[in-house]
Amino acid sequence: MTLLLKQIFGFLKLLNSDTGTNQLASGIMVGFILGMTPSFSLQTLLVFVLLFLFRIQIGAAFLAAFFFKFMAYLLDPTFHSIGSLALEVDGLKGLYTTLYNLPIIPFTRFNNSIVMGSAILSIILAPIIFILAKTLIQKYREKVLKKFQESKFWKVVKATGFYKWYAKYDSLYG
Amino acid sequence: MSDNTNDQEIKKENSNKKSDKKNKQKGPIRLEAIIPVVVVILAVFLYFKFLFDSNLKSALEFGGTQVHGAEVNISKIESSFFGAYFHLYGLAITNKEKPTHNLLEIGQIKFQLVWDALLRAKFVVEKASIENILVASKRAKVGYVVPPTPPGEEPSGANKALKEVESKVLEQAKGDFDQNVLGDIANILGGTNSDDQLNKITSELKSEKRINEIQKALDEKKLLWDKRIKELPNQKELNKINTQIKKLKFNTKNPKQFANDLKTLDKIIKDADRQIKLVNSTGKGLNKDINGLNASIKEIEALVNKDINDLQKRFKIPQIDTKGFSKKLFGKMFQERIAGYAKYIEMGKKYMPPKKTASEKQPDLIPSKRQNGRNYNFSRKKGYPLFWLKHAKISSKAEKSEFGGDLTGELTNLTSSPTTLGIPTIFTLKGDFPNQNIFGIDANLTLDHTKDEAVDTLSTSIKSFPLGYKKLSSSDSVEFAIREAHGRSEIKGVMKDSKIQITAKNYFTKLKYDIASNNKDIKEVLTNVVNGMPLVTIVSEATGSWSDIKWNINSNLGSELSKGFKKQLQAKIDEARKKIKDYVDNKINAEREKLTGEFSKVKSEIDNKISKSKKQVTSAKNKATKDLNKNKAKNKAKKNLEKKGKKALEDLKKKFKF
Repeated sequence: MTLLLKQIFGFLKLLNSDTGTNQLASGIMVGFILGMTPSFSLQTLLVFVLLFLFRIQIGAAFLAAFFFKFMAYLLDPTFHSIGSLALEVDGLKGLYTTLYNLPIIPFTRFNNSIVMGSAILSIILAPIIFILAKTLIQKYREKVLKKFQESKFWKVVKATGFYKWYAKYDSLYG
Repeated sequence: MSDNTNDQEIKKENSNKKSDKKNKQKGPIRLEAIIPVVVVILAVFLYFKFLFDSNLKSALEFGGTQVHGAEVNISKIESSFFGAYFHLYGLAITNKEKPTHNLLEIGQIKFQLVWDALLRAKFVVEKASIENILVASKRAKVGYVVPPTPPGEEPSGANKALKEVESKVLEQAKGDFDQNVLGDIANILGGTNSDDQLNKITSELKSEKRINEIQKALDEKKLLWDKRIKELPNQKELNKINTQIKKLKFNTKNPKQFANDLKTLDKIIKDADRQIKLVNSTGKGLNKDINGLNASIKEIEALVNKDINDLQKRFKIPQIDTKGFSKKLFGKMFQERIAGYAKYIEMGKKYMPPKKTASEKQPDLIPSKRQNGRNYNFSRKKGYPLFWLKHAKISSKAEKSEFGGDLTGELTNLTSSPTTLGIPTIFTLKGDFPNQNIFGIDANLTLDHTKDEAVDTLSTSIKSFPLGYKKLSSSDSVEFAIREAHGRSEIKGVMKDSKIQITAKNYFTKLKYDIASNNKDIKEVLTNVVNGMPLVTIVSEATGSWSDIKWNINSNLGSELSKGFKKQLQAKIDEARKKIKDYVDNKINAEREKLTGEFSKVKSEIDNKISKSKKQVTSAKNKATKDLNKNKAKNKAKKNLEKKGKKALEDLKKKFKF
């Protein structure tokens, strides 16, 4: 829990800094894939490996996954339709049969209409989500954050002893 | 001053260097995570390399002990994930009844798993071997026996269901298998005074209690019945009907009056009908009550017999019939064995479930968190059940081992999903334990859980085995046991769904007994009977469901002993039984007679009243109906005459051309 909270605080800090735009955007993109996937399967494990191996903001990924998980409830019928359409393509039946009989691959549950549908949709939408997230983060920093930092309220807060103590603590241990 | 400035500059430079380091652009790969990941992988690897086998060994020992009910030991376990094998050495299962010895000891069990199945998260054992089997070997240390659950406490954990099955079987016929029959006989022969015991009874008999209840019910019903009878039409009402009928004139000269009288009479008849219906329904209701009470009175006889039987049991008056005697002597021995089987059969059903019935297939009414979608099944070329032991070879050589056996056998297609596989599990074992004088073991077990109904069949025979000390009856006054004997045994059993049918035939020769009693007669009968019996046969049968097993045990020893004791005991037993019967009769006879007498009186009174009332109302109705019919006929004749007169007049008018 502490680790998770630390990651979420890290996300908020990074969001309000000038750096790490790509990390945050890729975190949101990975969170989108995680949230869309209906259950724990092999591809979820693969996404987790990517999350830990590459410099992707974990807090952003978890927050996005939490958010997109709710959205996925509404999208299940769409996933089902897309997945069914893909799994019923006659030309691909041979490939599916081979995959179905291979070891390990069936753990991906690719033969389930919702898993297949969500995978197709999330893979197609992932780059769009990345670009969208990046643009939104930049816009947020330019429009919202800058205005907030220039506001009187923030200046008052920055002048307080508590903030100075926090800034010092953050520079030393953050 | 200049020194201070230099120092400050150096500090600033260092601080800038630190800050540069901190702000240095990091690459896309999280290099700092490599070490923790490596550490975790290494820890997992080291755990599986050095600790997993010993932890698995402890877990299997604990689980085995809890399920079996006595200590289970394993010397060593060797397993390898990459090698896909599992080797178990030195499995020793303690004998619950004799914890100094093992029930079974297996030198080694080796499983070689199939990697192709492992990659599909399935455990398929292509070939296995079970070697060096020892039976009844002496343990280095006395084995721990799991204490029975104290009464009132429920067994805990996964073991609970198995314990329940075992105790369900053991609880049945507890009184019939108490192994105290000879002690009870000694008491009777010793002349325990049943009069004293009868005088001590202060509690109410079941039949006595029921009589009081019925008497109370009869008193209550009597009031109710009286009330309902009073509601029936009485003589006064009937007289009123008669008076009404008499008042009717039926004057044909006054047609209007005549029609009104007819209408009134019709109404009177309808009233009478209603009253007849009331009498009938009251009669039916009362008869129903009376019949109910009559059935309760008849129940008293059965309760009297039950009271007599209960008292016989309480005073431990033995049944000297052949079957009862055999049951008491050998029942417990057979029952304990069946209870042991029950536990393992239920366990087998749990881990090898048969096909689910339509009702079992009904999904639980728990909404899924997200939609489940549809699973597309492509043709499967390779499918495995979760666990499948294809073939295990059992081989053992006795050689010089005291407890070792020359055994050969095999176990095929043991699986967690028999319905998927569609092949039954078959276990066969043949061989001898020469150093223990056990010869001709031939065991065949088939577990067919492939269809809707699970069918398990067992057929086992042992041509010759030594029988150790077996206690047949134990009490303060009599000890009767088989010290040693040579036995031959055949067991056949079928279990379909939850119904069992097990027959065990045991033949014993070269018998030596331990007989001790403080009663000379008992000792003499026992000695005479056993001396004249070179062969003892015990044929035991258990049929029915686990919760309701019908036990049938026949033995020539039981039969001969019952005959031997019958001569001496029957008179005394009959006398004791008569005393009990007299006691019950004396206690309840007066009340029973009072009740039956009163009931008969009330019944006849009600019958009389109802029939009288019915007769009176019917007679009044009949009279009214007769009057009505007569007057209707009169009226009709008159109308016909008028019609004819009119027609004649019309004809005359036409003739004279008016």
